[in-house]
Amino acid sequence: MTPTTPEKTDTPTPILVVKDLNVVFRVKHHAVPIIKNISFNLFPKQTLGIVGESGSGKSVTALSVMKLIDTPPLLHMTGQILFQGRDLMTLSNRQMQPLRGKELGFIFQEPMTALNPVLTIKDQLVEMIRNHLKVTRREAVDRAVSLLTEVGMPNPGQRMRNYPHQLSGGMRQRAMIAMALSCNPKVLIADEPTTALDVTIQAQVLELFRTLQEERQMSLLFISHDLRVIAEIADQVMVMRDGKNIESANVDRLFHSPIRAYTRELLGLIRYQ
Amino acid sequence: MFQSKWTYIGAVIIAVFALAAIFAPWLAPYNPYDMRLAEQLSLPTLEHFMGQDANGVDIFSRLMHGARISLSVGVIVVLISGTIGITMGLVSGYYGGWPDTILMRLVDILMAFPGLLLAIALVSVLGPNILNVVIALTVLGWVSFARLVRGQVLSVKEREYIQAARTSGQSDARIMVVHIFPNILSPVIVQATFSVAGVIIAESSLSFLGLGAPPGTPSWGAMLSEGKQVILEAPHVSIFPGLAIMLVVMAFNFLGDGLRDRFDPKSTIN
Amino acid sequence: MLLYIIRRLLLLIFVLFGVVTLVFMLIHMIPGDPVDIMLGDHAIAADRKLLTENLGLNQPIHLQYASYMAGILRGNLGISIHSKRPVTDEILERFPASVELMFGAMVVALIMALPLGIISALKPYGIIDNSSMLISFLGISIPNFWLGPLLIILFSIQLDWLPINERGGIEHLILPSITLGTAMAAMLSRMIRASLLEVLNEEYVRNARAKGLPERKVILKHALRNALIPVITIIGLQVGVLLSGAIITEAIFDWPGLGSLLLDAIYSRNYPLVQGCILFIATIYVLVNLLTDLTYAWVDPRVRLE
Repeated sequence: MTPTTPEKTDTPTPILVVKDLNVVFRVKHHAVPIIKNISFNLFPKQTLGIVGESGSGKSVTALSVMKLIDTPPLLHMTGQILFQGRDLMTLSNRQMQPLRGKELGFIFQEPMTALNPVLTIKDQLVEMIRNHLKVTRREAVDRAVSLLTEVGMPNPGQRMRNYPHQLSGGMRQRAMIAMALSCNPKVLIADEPTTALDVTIQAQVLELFRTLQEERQMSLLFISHDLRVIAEIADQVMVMRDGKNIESANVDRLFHSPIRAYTRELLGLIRYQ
Repeated sequence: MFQSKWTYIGAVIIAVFALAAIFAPWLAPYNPYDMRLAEQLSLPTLEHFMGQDANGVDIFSRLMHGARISLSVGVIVVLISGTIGITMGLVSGYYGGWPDTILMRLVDILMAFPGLLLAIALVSVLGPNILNVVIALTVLGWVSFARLVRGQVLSVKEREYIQAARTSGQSDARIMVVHIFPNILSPVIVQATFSVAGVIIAESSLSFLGLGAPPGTPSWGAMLSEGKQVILEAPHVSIFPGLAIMLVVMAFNFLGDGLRDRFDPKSTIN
Repeated sequence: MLLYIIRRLLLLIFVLFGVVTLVFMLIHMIPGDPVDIMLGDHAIAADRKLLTENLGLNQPIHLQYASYMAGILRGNLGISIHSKRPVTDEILERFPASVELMFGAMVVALIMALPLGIISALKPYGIIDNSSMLISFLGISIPNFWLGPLLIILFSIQLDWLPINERGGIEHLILPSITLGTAMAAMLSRMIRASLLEVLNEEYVRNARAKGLPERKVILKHALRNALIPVITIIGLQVGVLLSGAIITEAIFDWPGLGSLLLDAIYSRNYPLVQGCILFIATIYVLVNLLTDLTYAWVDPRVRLE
């Protein structure tokens, strides 16, 4: 399997490099490889889209970068995950903590389950801000309000006092995004962030991602099962199937001249829908 | 692994106690009423390896006869209260409506008496003897069976095969007995196993409080109560009956836990 | 939420009504003449007549029921036979001792169950989890009328560290509290483990880690707060086990609470006092359960703000 070879002509060094990532789960006393030799580069201010069907290993890939896979099911994990040249694979859980949220933001698919049901949006935002930044509670609250405004939350001052179940799906995901952005991460990893939303809201949230990336100059690792969503947001695309990298290319090339039959199949699906 | 090993141990302990109970009249080395006042409170010896109680009776022989009381009360109460509870639960879950409302309100009232309180109340007016203990514990025990069965029936009765049996014109009684009951048997068996443990503790608690077997009867609870009076000079009198109760109760709890895991693999996280 | 509280209160009134009726019926379930049994065979006719009239047993049963009910509404549980004092007074006098014992048992249970439950959930099927599982089986199976004497033999007789009997300073509370609290600790530690194990798989716990929070905060703030919500119900139900277990524990340690008051009343066939104690204990239990349900609804914002 050849690693991704991006057009290195006018791009600087990648901010995130994943090299030969292998992840093995333990399923009922058997070692089952979930991720097989995945490699990719994420460049500053760029978006890498990972696309694949459910079970293709794209979420596990995203969580691997955060080193957030629970043991069990995780049996072992090998390869390199270089963030700004530093290999995350060698870091302990404790050493990862200052990076998570601060340098690497993460957005989950389903904000209803990813937000803590017994804490208000304010609690959860302020907690995150004060965990990484040396600010007073007051400053953290102000920052939370401006973040919610930035992600387009209506009535942010009032919504802060709500619990997750009191918000609509779109508002919850906006709160989730605000939280992930709160400490200005250099890399934002979004695992199917629009899948749980209604179609109209999906478009709005996707637009929000584009604006935020533009303004904040972040790198974005965007995971979706939906090629149409990927087509709209990604610069580079990696197609995954059964834990393997099937094909990766820049978005135009992939859509216009896919090499692999599987990619053509995926593309065919959206054309006939 | 962990689970099945303990289930097996539980079953073996129960078998040993059951055999001891059944054959106590032949196996027990001494008569459980044979007082030897000269040897009262004597410590364990080769002849009396658990020692003798305040009346000089061999504690080991009394324990074997005590097993007859504990196990038979446990099984009898669970059989009677189980039968009543299952019937009530089936009828109320199947028909719903006012029989169900009445049953549930009755259950609410009985559940207002925590733990043994209702049994204590009943025995205190009916008089302390084994028969009244059985009555009181049955009044206490049927409720959990009724609640369990009712809940199970509610979830089973909407399934297709029950609807099919109904439309094919089978009688309600037949549907309940032939189609519903076998499908809810596993949780009922688990409940019954735990209930035996509960009843054995309850019976010995009542006997300990002097509200069960009359004084002098070789009941484990009563033996502990006698032991408490001589605890300062003869702690050994208290040790063995308590050990017996704990072993039997734990054995039934192991068995119940193991059966639950076997019937419902979801309950173990793996 | 308001509707829920109203419905709960209506059910409470119904249940209490049923409980009073059942307790009223107790005295009529006595085989033979209750007055004979209460006063014994050698009582003089005048005493018998007086007691019959005091208990209202010469009246038709529906009038007895009405006056019993009316008395209870005014807080009058009748007159204790031997002391001739109001039953309510005798009960209220003994109640604090029982509360003290139950409070001690609850503290013991939480001190044992919280760390055991949390560690077991964090390392399931590890050494601590497996041993705590075995200890729980022991704790649930050990009858407290045996555990009490064992503790006395060990700590009072062999080691001579703690006093045996009666109420007094905190050192008197220790053994009875352990005796009463052990079963609850066993139950609670398994519940906390199960509940926490389930919560640890939730996405919000993973999200808390993704936020870079220290593990201690992830567990104690995000996971445990959610895990303890269902445990509240269990604690409420366990208060019933404590109320009932206290009767036996008080008998073991000669603890002057409600339980020993009830037992003395039973032994001396003081039926008005028996009825009063049973009614009082059941009422406390019903009220605690109501309080538990309301607390449960209150701590979970998904229920509270419905």
